[in-house]
Amino acid sequence: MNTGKCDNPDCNAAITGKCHIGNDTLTECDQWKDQVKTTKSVKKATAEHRLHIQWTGSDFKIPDIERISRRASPLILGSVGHSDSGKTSFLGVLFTLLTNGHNLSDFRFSGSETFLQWEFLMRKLKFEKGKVAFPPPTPSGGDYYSFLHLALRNQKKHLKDILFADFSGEVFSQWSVDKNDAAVENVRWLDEYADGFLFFVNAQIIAERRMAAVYDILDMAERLNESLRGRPVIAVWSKADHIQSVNEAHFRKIETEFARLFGQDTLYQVSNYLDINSNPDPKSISNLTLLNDLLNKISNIKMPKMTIGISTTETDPFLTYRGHGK
Amino acid sequence: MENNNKQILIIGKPATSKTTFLVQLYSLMRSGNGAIKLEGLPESIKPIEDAYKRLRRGETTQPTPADNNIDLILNLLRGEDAFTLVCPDYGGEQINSLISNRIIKEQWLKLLANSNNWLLFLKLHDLTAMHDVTTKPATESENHEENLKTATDYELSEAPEMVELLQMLLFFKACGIQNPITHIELKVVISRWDELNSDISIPADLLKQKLPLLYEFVNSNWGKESISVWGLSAQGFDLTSDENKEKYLEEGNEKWAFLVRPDGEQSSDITELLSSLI
Repeated sequence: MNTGKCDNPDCNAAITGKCHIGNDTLTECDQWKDQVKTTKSVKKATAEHRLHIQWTGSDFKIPDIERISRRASPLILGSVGHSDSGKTSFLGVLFTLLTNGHNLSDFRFSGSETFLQWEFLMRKLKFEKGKVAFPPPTPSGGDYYSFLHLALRNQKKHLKDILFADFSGEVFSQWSVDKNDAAVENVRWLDEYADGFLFFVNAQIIAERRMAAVYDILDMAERLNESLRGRPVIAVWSKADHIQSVNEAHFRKIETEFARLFGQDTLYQVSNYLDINSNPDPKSISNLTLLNDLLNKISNIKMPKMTIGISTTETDPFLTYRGHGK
Repeated sequence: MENNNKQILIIGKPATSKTTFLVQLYSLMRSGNGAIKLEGLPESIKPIEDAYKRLRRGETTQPTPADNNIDLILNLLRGEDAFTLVCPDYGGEQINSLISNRIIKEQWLKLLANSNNWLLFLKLHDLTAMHDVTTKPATESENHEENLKTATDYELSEAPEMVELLQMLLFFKACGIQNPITHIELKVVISRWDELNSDISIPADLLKQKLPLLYEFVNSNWGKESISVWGLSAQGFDLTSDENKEKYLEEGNEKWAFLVRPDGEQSSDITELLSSLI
């Protein structure tokens, strides 16, 4: 067994025992680092490790997804939309509603490993000294990504881990123009692996920039549709307190095109500004309704049956395992 | 007669009446008025000594020092059943430290490993709810810029904090939540019930109203038979007035504590909280 590792991330010497640049022994290689931990220090590290919680409470990165996937495959939900289309605020309102006692119809809150990030978003929606700050824009740039986690239990008592991807709107705009752009690697990952999507249409921008904004939205919707492979999309008018200012023809154009592309007859409406004449304002709880809708649509997708093409005459219990009972 | 060791774990932040409850529990069992009685005097009541003396004088208990970790060990009888109850008394600051530092102390691992009976003590009487955009209309003019702070600048609010605490304890007990939990009996105890000033009499309804996220979490992750919500007033009333102090001095301290059962009925026998141990 090789107790060490190579500095070169592409070198497999720790596993194979063979140096990637051809040295006879690993110790001859400048990039090889011997692991000099004694049994005692290894034991100490293990003892300390077991006293630590394995999640930080902050937003998830890729290694966290790998960790949580060990209990079951999580559902990854992609929020798609331009900058300032309310993707992050949507998440903040969602958690605020759950904390205030509003629930999803078909799924029950069962925990989260990203409470600190949820709290950060929720605090931005609270009145402090009579004012609301609202969540700051998601940092721009292709390298930034963030996932928020919720554990939900469905009516059959099955637990599902949900990961909400929160990416910058700028990268979606770039992806819409050029899906092979080097800067949109994260969006390509999401496009490949998400189980469903929320698509945000900013009513305020449509009202102000009219057909120019309609075209931008439809370009992005077409791009998403191109590689959808039957995965569900729920589209939503964000900043819907501006919906009355949207030109009727533009409104219809978007509704019609989204019905064609995603099979959704009417877009949901969400807003951070309650209508005081409407009590309760349906826009204040539609964050939960549309998430419930998306999760049900994902649940209803029939997964193709997988068959394992290995002879059952093998005696290796790993190779002959067929997921008994599941 | 069979003798069993039973360990109960009282989980609670500072000022949730953990030590006061232990003193009143001990006092009631000593008086012989509860369904569960003491079988002889314990070898030591050192863990609750100071609080015991204070309550007998009609004075409120002091916060348990943060580093305290002493087990109160009581030999008990209920009818013919005899068992030994191990109740750790510790500074509630240890819970705060666990939540904020995300590191557990070695002795807590043992506590968790040895106990499948958890009492989660909460206080709800001093919760304040701030308005947010889902409860009060905002206007455009209220939107203002703020510096980009990192998420870790914030402490968690009460409900997420309690959920995080339970998640951590389950993690360290190596208890998954894929299936509803049935081997850990969880009693959520809303303490300082006398200070609530609420019309709600069912403890679970009060939890649902005040900390709905926690209510959902425990009801989703625990089997129906393994979760219950109780109310508790360990003191019965506040001891700042001379009149109330007199009641303690005249009639004893154990008489005033009361429980609110899950169905809303009150009981002066606070040993009922231990009923699942038997």
